[in-house]
Amino acid sequence: MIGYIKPDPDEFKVKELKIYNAYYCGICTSLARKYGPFSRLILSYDATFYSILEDAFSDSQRKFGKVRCPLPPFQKRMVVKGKSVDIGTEFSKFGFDLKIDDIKRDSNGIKHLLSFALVQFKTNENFFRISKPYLDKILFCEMTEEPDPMEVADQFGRFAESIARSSKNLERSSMMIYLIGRWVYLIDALDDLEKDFKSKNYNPFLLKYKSLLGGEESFKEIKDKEKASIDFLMVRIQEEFAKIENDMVMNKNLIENVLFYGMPKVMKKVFEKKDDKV
Amino acid sequence: MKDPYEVLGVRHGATKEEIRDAYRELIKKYHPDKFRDNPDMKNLAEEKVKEINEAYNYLLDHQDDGSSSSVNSGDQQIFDQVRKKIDGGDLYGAEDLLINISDKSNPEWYFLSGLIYFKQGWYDKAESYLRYAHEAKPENKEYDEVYRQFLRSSRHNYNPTMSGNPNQGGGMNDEVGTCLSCCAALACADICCHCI
Repeated sequence: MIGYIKPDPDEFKVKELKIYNAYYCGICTSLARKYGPFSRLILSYDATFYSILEDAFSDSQRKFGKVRCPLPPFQKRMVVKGKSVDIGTEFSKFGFDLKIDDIKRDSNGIKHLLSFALVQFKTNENFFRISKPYLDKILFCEMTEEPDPMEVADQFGRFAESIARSSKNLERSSMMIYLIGRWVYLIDALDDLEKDFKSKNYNPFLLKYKSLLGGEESFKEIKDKEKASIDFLMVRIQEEFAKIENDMVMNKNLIENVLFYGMPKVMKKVFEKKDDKV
Repeated sequence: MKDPYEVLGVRHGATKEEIRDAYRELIKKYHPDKFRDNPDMKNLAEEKVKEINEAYNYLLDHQDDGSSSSVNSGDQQIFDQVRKKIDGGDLYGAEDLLINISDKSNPEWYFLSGLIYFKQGWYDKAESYLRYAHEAKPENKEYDEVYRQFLRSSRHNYNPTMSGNPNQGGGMNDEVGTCLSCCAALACADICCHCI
């Protein structure tokens, strides 16, 4: 579920790329400070997007700082500081906690053992409390093998939206975040078709198109059938962006890049399934 | 907001036997006793079973009416409120109101539900609900307009990275392409002429 909301760096202006990287590095350093150096590994594009969106409607001035980065250790990097980065940090940690919970529940063998070694203090009680009803519903869908992908995606969208509603600035874009949540779930499920089929994991698309499965081309066929619905979702996301873009104080271009270039690019990769991982 | 036929997974106009079979199947699948060791999941299963029971009872009660298209005044009032909520962007509020409508075979009900699905980016459901409303009342201008708008936006997709494929948005269609290449050929010819 992680890493689908990314930008297309080729389409950035140079200064936009610098600002995007400042957010990215800002979350990374803030993670290291709060949760130790290894937590840098849980940094994600999605958390960066939340931070950027949070600042888009913020009234206060954005603050920059200079921080030394271990990679490479000689030069200092520009980072963003402040509330938006804290939200991104918490969101990263929360995403990681969920992932650990998921592994504890599902898999066995080495991953299962490792997950217990990684037990850390839970910090995002707030996020957990807000999103619990939706997480439960998603789990319920998995346990009962819900065959309609849209139904599960709806719950995932509400889950993303519930987190957005916890912040005043993000609330204005809650409809867009709901749609993005849906999109992420569906893209992730389509991306993992082969993997889930082999490992017999739950994937709503495999249940919806049970009769198609078996042939070499079956995964491609499923993707072709679902393309229209994902395209439609993308258009709806862009429409919602158009509704709120005039209220944005800053970062408008960064968000535009993610929605109009980055996400379509991810989509293209999933549908054409090049060998490189999205 | 759910359509009782959809909850049970049967088509419109299914026979009593079909409805009963579908009902039994679902009750068996979601029986709360299956989730005895997990209280959260058990609650959700109970909710689901309640929803299935409601849909089943609704269909049993309304099976013989056929589709009566008369709208009673109470429903009409709710429909007006739903429209206001949708305009104001409160989709969840609108959904909650739609559940209370007693006559769920009304085209207006399908239209408004379809509109909400449209806004939520729910492609296949929006398609079937809006089409149903449109087919039930083809003379209604509004249904027709929204259904067309839906079809347009599902085809239109602004996507600059897909310019390699002319069938996708952003690419040029063949006619313009031929025209342009024609122009280009003439321009090249012109340059050559001057050179010679």
